[in-house]
This record gives sequence, C-alpha cells and structure tokens, in this order.
Amino acid sequence: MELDPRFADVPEDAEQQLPPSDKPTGMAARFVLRRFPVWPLIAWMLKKKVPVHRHSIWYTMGGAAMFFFIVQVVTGILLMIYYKPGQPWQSVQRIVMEVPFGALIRSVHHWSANLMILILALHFFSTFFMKAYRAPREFTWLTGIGLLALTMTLGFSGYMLPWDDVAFFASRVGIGELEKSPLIGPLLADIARGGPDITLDTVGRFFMLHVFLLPLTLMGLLGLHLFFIQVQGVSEPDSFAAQPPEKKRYHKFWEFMVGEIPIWLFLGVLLVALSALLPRTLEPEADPFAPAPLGIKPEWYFLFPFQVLKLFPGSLEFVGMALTGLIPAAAVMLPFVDRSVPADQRGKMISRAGFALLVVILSFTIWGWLSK
Amino acid sequence: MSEHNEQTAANKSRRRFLALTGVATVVWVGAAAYPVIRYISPIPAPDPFGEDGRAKVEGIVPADILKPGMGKSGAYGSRGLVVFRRPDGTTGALDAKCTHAGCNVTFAGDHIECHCHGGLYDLTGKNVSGPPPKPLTPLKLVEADGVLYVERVKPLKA
Amino acid sequence: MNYPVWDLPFLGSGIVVAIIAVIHVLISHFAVGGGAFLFVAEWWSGNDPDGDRIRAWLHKFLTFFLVFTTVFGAITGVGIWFSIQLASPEATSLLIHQFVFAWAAEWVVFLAELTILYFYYYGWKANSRRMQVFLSGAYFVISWFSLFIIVGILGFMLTPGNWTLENPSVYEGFFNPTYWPMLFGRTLIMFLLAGLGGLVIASRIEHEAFKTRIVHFCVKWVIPAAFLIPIFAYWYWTALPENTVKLVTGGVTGVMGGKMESITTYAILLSVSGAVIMLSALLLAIRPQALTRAAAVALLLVALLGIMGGEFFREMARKPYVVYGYLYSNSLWKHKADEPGYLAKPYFEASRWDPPVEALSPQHGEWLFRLQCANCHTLNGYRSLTTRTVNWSGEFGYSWLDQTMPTQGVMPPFQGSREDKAALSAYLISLQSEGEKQTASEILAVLKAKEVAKLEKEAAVPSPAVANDPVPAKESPENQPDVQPTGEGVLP
Repeated sequence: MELDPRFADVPEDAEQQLPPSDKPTGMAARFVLRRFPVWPLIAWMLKKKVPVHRHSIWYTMGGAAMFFFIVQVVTGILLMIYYKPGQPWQSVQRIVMEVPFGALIRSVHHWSANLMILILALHFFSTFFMKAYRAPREFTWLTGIGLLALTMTLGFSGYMLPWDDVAFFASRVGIGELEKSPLIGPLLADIARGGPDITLDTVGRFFMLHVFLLPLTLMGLLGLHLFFIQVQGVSEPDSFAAQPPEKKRYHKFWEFMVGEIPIWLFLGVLLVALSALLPRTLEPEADPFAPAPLGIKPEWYFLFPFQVLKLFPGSLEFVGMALTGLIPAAAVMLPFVDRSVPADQRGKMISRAGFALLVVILSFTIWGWLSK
Repeated sequence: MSEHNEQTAANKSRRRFLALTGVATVVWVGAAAYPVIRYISPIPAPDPFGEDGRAKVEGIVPADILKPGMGKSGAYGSRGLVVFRRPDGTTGALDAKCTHAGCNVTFAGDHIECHCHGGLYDLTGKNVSGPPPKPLTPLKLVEADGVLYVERVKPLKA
Repeated sequence: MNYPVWDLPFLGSGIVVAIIAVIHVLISHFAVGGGAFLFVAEWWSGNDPDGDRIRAWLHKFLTFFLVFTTVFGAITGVGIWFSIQLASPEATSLLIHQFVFAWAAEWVVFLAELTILYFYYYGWKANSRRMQVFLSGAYFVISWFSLFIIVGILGFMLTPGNWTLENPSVYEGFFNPTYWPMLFGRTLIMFLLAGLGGLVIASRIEHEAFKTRIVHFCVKWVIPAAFLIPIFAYWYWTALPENTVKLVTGGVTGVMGGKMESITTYAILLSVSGAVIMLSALLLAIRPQALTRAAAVALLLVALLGIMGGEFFREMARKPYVVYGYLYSNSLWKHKADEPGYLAKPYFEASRWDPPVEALSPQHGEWLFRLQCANCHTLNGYRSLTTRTVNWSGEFGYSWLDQTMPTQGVMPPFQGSREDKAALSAYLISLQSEGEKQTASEILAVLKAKEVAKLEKEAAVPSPAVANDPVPAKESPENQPDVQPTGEGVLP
C-alpha cells in the first residue's frame, strides 16, 4: 500500500522502518501515513532518543509542569461550573460547603497551582545549569520564559477570584506595586483594576484573564515550545556529550514518554494527599473598607521581588524595580550571550552567576516568608 | 512450528491477563473518578418542609393578606409561592411554579397570571386559560406567633 | 521535654507518631512481602534456564531489601514504641497489659526473622540451593507472623469486638471484627509493595529482554493484589463503627469552615493511589522498557501516600477514642466519664498530673490545654486551636466547652469544673492577635451576672405575649451563609 508521497519523499524501505502492521502502533502509523504526508515527522519520532545520564531526572520537570497545567484546566473547568464572578465569595463558599467534593476540587486546584510554579522553578534552573538554552534552542528558552510569566500571571489573577480578605489585600498589594512602575504604571493598574479601586469589576477582568485569555495564550506558547523540542530533540549536557559514543546510553523517546506517566500519576496522588493534609481554607469575605489583616503577604512565588522592593522604599523604588527587572531581561538575553558548546570561560561565569542568583532568590524568599 | 504455537498460547494468556487487568483498572479508576462524578451531578434541592412538615414563608407577613383582594409573592425553602386572601375571606397559598414552562406566576387581584406565555389561573389554582396544562400545586397556609408557614397538601385532580 | 506531657509545638505528638508509623508500615509490609518475593524468585530461578542471571539480579534486590528493611524497619519500629508511650501512656499501658504475650511473641518473631535473613544473605554463595529456598520461605512465614500478631492489637483499638472492661477476654479482643479483613488485606498490600520494590531494582537493567522478564515478574505481584485489595477493603468497611460510616459519608460536602471532612479525603487518597498503581502496572505490563528509575521510585512514593491515606483514615475512624468505646484519645476513660458528676470535677483532681498552677491564671488554662487537648491539637500548627477559636469571646468559649463540645462526635467530652472552662477559654483567646482579651475571672464574673439576671427575670411576673413584629425579609440562602458558631473555621 502506498504511503502518501505528496510534499515529501518517502524512501522505498519506509514501511520496513515502521512497527509491524499487526501491532496497534504499526496500524496507527499506517493509518495516518496513508492519508497525510507526514513521513518526516514519523521518521523523526522513530529515531528520537533521550540521553540517559545522572541528571536525566531533570528531563521530567517540563512534562510534570504540563501535567499540573492539565490538572488546572480540568479542575478549573469543574470550578467554573459553580463559580459566579458576580458573587465570587458566595459561590466559592457554596463550592466548598455544599457541592459534593467541592472542597477537594478547590484544594487540588490550589495545590496544583503552587506545585506547577515550584516545578517550573526547578525546570528553569535545571535547563539553565544544563545549558539547554544554547543555539539552536534559543526559542525554546524564550517561549519558556513567556510560559513562566504567563503562569505567574495566572497565579496572581486566580488568587483574587475567591474574593476573601486575603485575596483582596494580596491583589491590592500586587497591583499597588504595578502602579509604581515608571510612566505606564498607573495606566496599567487602572486597566487591571477597572478603575481607581479594586471592585467586583476587577473580579470580572481577572476572571476573563484567568479562564480565557491567559490559558489560551499559554496553550499556544506551549504548543510552540513542545514543537521546538520535538523537532530539535532533547539537548545533551556537556558532560554527556563529552563521552565516547559507545558509552552513551539513550532511551527510545516513546519509552521515555510512557515512563513519564507514572511520575505524573504520582504527582496527581501528591495533590490529593496535600489536599487531605492541608486543605485550602476560605477566609471571610473581602471588605474593601476594612484595614488590611496583619502580616498580609503575597503568595510565596512573589515573595522574592516583594522583599527586594521592600529594601528600596520611597524615592529609591526605581532601584528596586530596576534590579528585579534585570532578571527577566538577563534571562531573555541569555541564549544570545552564552553560545559556546562546550561551555567556555564565559559560559562558566554565567553558570556561577546563575547559582548566585538562585541563592539570592531562595534567601529573599525565606526572608520574606519569615518576616511579618 | 511448535514454538509459534507456544508463542500464540503465551500471547493469548497474556491478552487475557491484560484484559483482566484492564477491568480491574476501570474499577479502581472509577473509584477515583467518583468524587468528580458526584461534583458535576446536579445537587438535589433540599426538601423545603422541615421535620415537622412545615416550611417558613419568606417575604410575606400576615399584614400582607389582611384584607380580601390582597396578595403577595414570596418564597418557601428554595421555591416560590403566592399567598393571597380571596373575596370570600379565605386565605390561599399556591406554589408559584407555572405548570407550563416553570416561570413564577403573579397574583393579579382576582386571578393569578403567568407573564411568560399568558397562562391564567383562578384563585383555587385551577388553570383556566392559556398554555398551562395543570393546576398550580396548592399549599396549606398556617399562621403561628405572627409568622406564616406552609404545609404540604395532596394535589387537586385536574 | 515538659514532663509529663510531650510538648511538640508545631506538629503535635500525634503527627510525629503518624510520620514514624506510616514509614514503618511501608517498610514492614515491604519486608514481609519481599520475603515471599524472594522465595518465589528463588524457586523460579531454580527452574528457569536463565536461572543464574535471575539469581544475580535477585542478589541486587536482596542487598537493597536487607539494608532498607532492617535498618529503617528497626529504627521506625522502635520509634513507634518511643513515640506512642510518650503520646499516649494510658493507652499504651492498656494495650501492654492486655496483650503482653502478643507483644513478647512479636519481639521473638523479629529476632527470628532477622537471624534467618542474615543466614540467607551471608550464605548466598556457600549455601545450597535447597537451603536458600528453605531460608527464604522460612523468613517469609516467620515475618508474616509478625503481621498476624500486630493486626490483633491494631484492630482491637478500632473494634474491640466482644472484649469488654468487665470481661477482658484476650481472645475476643485479639480476633476482633477488623482483624480478618486487615490480615488478608495487608498481606495483599505486602505482595504489592514487594512488586514495586522489585520494579525499582529492575529499572536499571540494561539487557532489554531480561528487563522485560523481570518487569513482568514484578508486575505479577502488583496487579492481582491491586485487584483483590478492594474486596477486603469493603469487608473492613462493613466492620467499621456506625459513627465512622456516618462521618465518612457525611463528609462529602464541606463542614466547619469549608474543609471537607478529612476522613473522606483520606479515603479518596487511598482509592486514587490504588488507581494510579493499577494504571501504571498495566502500562508497564504492556511496555516494560518504559520503566525508568524515576518512574519506579514515583510508584513507591504513590504507595507511601496511599498508605498514608489508609492509615490516617483508620486513625480518624477511631475518633474520639484511642480504644473505641473505652478510652478517649486524651486518656479519659469512658466508663469514668459516664459516672454522674465526674465530668464536672476539677480537672487536676482527676488527672494523673496536678501541675502547680494558680487557679484561673493563664498557666491554669495552658496546662488544661496540654493535658486535655494536646493529644490531638497544637496551638499554631496541626489542627491549630488558634485558627479554630478566631472569633471566640470568653463567654462563647465557655459555652462551647460546656455545651457544644460534648455533642461534637469526634471529640471527647470536656472534663473540668466551671473554673477550668473559664481558664481554658481565657487562655485560648489570649493567644489571638486580634480581639478582646478576658481573664478567666472576668469570664466567670460575666457568666455569674447573666445567671443572676436570668433568675431575677424568672422570679418576676411573666410578661404577656409580645405583639407580633413583622418578620424581616431574609435574603436568599445563597447570599447569606448560615452563621453557626461552630468554633472551627474562620467564617463569621
């Protein structure tokens, strides 16, 4: 039977390279190839390999983040069934108190958000230290930065939706910081809030962002990110690449992906366990006229910039903002600055700088956590 | 040849094993999916009549139906109702859900009407004109300590 | 350590016992299941043409097994002893006195199984094949006996069955209603864990065809067990006390400030873990090469979380008792609590420790917390009392301890006099960062004044029925949450 040769040359022995025709994978491949000219893609998938080395575990981080995102979409859809943006606090209260297992779904949604950001931090730093951003993978890295920014914005917007006093005041603090940005700060803050103050209108805007615009954009960027990885293959760290060819071990790509599934399932169980041990509570309804509760803090993933900004009060604000703004700027420039494979002196310095940054971020986060 | 038969036999037993495993997996996954299924299933409306068979009328006080011709819409449990005093002085209470398409009916002096499709009921709840196919469900109105309650009544025959 | 109360600020003694015990269950169950695994593998290697390679792999498994189970098993096992004595001396005393020979037999079993295991390991090359098969089999049988014994004691705590205080039959207490479902259910869990442990060691096998064979062997330990466990879980469910069943099924919606009844969530954790293990085992049966070390370790962690779900469920099922129907979690004896007037006695007269505190002082309240509440609650950490008393006033706290607590269902009745209740209430509200503070004497004074006013009112001529005020229209239920002064959660 002929495989569709339009747009791409299909070699004579193509059929022999496919899995046997009586196996499900073989049948699926033939089904697709007879209709769609995707031979190069399938050929690539057959050859694709994942390096096996001491740091292979880090290759699972990205997939884990995607798993958490899928959980967020599923639990988010479920929550949307009962959440009402016009009555945010009451509808969330109904979810946790009246809807069967509503408290569980909500807790899972909360924990999955936190774990997603945590694992993205691990993913970010592991790809940084393994220097996976180097050419030809610059755009994988850039889309990744975009995905991180989207995820944190999703976290920020979702946090406000329950409209309890913690949500309200944390959002007020966050938008307040945004307002302090030079030139466009006040304008951005007004658009975000839908006015000079945070009201139910703000909830409407954040709801639209959180359930539609941001997830849609994220899925688009994620699609690009994954496409780049598929067509370029998994990067090999310098220590692995330096080994003689006969010593290098690889997983077949399909085996690796299937092996990721138990890890994802474990993360799912972890979410349920965290929801059992540390369920998400609902604080009293937001009262815009009441004073902020003592010790109001943003969520842990915003503690680092928050703490930095606290160090530069008053007129020194811009210094703090510039400093925190340096980090995303440096991240974006990184793949164009560190290009050498294997890493040269500049590459090594960059690794050390990154390590120092990691230590700083951790310290400031802990400091922010401990301070009142 | 015999090796091939062995292989087929092994394949068959492996397939059966996997099938059993598949069934067991479905059972386990079903147990794990149970919370989600319960979550999305409609929440049954609670019975408005409490343990003593009586539901408090919300939004209507005895003063609202002091004189014949007075009537008001209110609620009991999670349902709507109309309460009124007929020209002959007797009080009436009817569940407000129109039997046509479920809109809430309104008291209109000497009759009850549904604004959705123009259905009309008399003050006994009987459907007299328009699309409604059945009478409104009557309720027994009682007053205790100045508060209105309703109790269940067996439905009228249409 | 604040003798005689084990004071653990953030976690609480219960959680420390839980952490040690959950790890111990994972290890001990793996240890027994692993024995069966070794025995069957030994027997298999004797009959298989590739026997030497299987045995070589088995030795890797055995090394991991020996170190993991003996070291951590011993540490956590002894850890359980230490922690339960400190957390609940009264309950431990009861269990020891009732089942002293069972405990003794358990230690003998441990000694025997370890001895056999070391003979098995160090005789790996020197012993004959028959001896090795025999030793592994003997190890399994003897270590299984440690399960046979411990389940009697563990099951007794939740379902004492026909054992009573007046007629404390060791036989009835030991072979109690949850004994048999737990015995068989846990044996199956042991086989399942052995399979998972095997998968961890199998994940690094390089030879593809051999890896497939070993993965298939391990998966055969996981799947039938996962298939049969629900049957015994159901049997266990039917043996549970009635109140527990009500809690679990009633806990489907939120209670007390929006947290779903955690016992229900732990049951869900257990079923989700089982589903995951089942799915993954199926996946690995179809694609053995997909087994990576990370995946295998992940599955073991899933099993650990599943065990956590099951054990936490079992512990919560037993609330408010530590020995169901007889001894409350805070060492209050039910038969004493049922005596008229006992609960109203000043607490320090009845308790085992009479701390040198001034009556109605904050220390009075603090010691009441330590002796009566700390078994299950911490102040700022697990099951935090400060979170649960956020809106308490002094009088409300008093009336909660006086009237609501006995009807709680998951808590023992409060034992103490008026002064005790006032002192504890004053102490708890003193820990809040916001809100009015009251001392215990102030609370008592307010309550006294209210009582006097009430008596005066009743003594006067009863006033005529008040004219009906119009009933104010209430907002629909969606807009106004029920304001129940439940004391848990933070809703107004």
